Amino acid sequence: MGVIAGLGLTDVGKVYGRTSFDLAGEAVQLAVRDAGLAMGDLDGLLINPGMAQPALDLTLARRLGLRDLRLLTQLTAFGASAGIMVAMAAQAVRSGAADVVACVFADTPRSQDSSGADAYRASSVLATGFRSAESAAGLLSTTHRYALAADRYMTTYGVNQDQLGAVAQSQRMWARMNPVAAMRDPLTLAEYHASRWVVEPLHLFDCCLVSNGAAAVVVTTAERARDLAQPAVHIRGWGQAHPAPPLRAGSTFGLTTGARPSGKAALAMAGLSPEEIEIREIYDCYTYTVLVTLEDYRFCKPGEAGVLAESGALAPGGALPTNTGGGQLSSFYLWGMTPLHEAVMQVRGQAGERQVERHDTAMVSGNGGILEHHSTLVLSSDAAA
Amino acid sequence: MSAGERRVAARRDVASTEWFDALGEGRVLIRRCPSGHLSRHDVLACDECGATELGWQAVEGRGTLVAVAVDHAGANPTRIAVVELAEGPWLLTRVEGPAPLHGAPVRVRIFDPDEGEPYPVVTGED
Repeated sequence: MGVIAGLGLTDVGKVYGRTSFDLAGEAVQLAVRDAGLAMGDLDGLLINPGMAQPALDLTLARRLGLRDLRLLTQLTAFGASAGIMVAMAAQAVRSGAADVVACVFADTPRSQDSSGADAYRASSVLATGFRSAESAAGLLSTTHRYALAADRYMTTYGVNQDQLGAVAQSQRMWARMNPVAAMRDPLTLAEYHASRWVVEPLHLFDCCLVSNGAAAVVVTTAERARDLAQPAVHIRGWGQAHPAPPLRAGSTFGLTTGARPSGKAALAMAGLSPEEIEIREIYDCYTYTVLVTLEDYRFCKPGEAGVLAESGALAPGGALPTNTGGGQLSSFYLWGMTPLHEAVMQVRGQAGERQVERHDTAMVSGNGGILEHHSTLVLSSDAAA
Repeated sequence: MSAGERRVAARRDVASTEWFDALGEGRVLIRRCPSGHLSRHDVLACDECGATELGWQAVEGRGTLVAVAVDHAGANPTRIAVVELAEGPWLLTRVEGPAPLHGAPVRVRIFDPDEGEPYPVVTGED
């Protein structure tokens, strides 16, 4: 199995005047340096562009001066991309297709004039054909569709707004200990309820940030990682799932997601059970997504994650530390690189003030589209038994 | 009209021509495969059996509310919903008028805006 040997993160958030290419290049260089490698050691590069135009593409390799790569591609599975890139890189180093593979995501949806949310409305507003009838009727963004999923989940299981708020609060508590987090002020439940509706039942504080920035990891073999600069983070298991339930009577829309099969596959490959996972880094485009993913990963039964969040289990000092850097809600939003970055920091034991005491195993989720695309990674400080 | 200035227009393309034509004639169409299974209007293959030779069938115009969300951005809130048609497929659209509760019966109507193609909406049953 492969190892994550290097980690790079640029400035994130309100970072202006820099392109995705510029940021991606810096993230790769940071990750390579972090690993104790040189750029010339890279023989593979996987690139996941975000929403900003012009989109990041393969010419990044040339700009970085990377010559004679044996693996180079640009890919997307939206929010599931990071986990899929790492799994592809792990397969590449295992097969010998490449020895040292960088995986990078960069995006610049924000500008000084725009919060960046427009980038996530474009596909609805510019739609033609069937989809445009839904946009015209009022389904104007990704958040509108997630709000419908959240409503179905909440009404089916009796999950309430306080419980969504508890997710936002738990993650803010973690973010307060993360020097790179954008939102570091305390968050009361009253402040959560007072935040404006984006699309009810989703308040502003139920929704992720929109950030500019880039993150990269370097994947190599366990043998090679042994002599490198950082503690090895072993890629013990992975899975992806794209369930696409038909939208009709009997649909599970909103109630369960591809996290269930992808999580099961990743745990099986790792030879671990949910009880053996010490840290959860869950894709949190919305508070609701955290709840449904925890259920799909079997950390609790369907419909019970709201009660779990309210109990404080996800927060610092809780039994199930989750989104320990503040996540996409309170830290920064670089798609699946947000949970992946924090998992690597924690498993290495380099998370500083917010370091979780038991940090040998972590589960990382990715979620893309409207709960349509899922990836899971199981990471560990121990090599496979 | 409730969503005000944020409203965008429905625009036909080649694949949706027959569906928008039917809306112009007062009918909301869904897909029907040779075995009689019904799927949403926008699928390329039957949800049940995967058949790709799909015809059309007009819906009776009744459904129930599966999920509701509210966009508060405009001058008046816009209620959007997942509607389960009596025939089974789901319609994602706007609820016009007073909001019925989850599970409540709704009627499918056709909304004909000043700009763009007509499209289906729902109202509470009266």
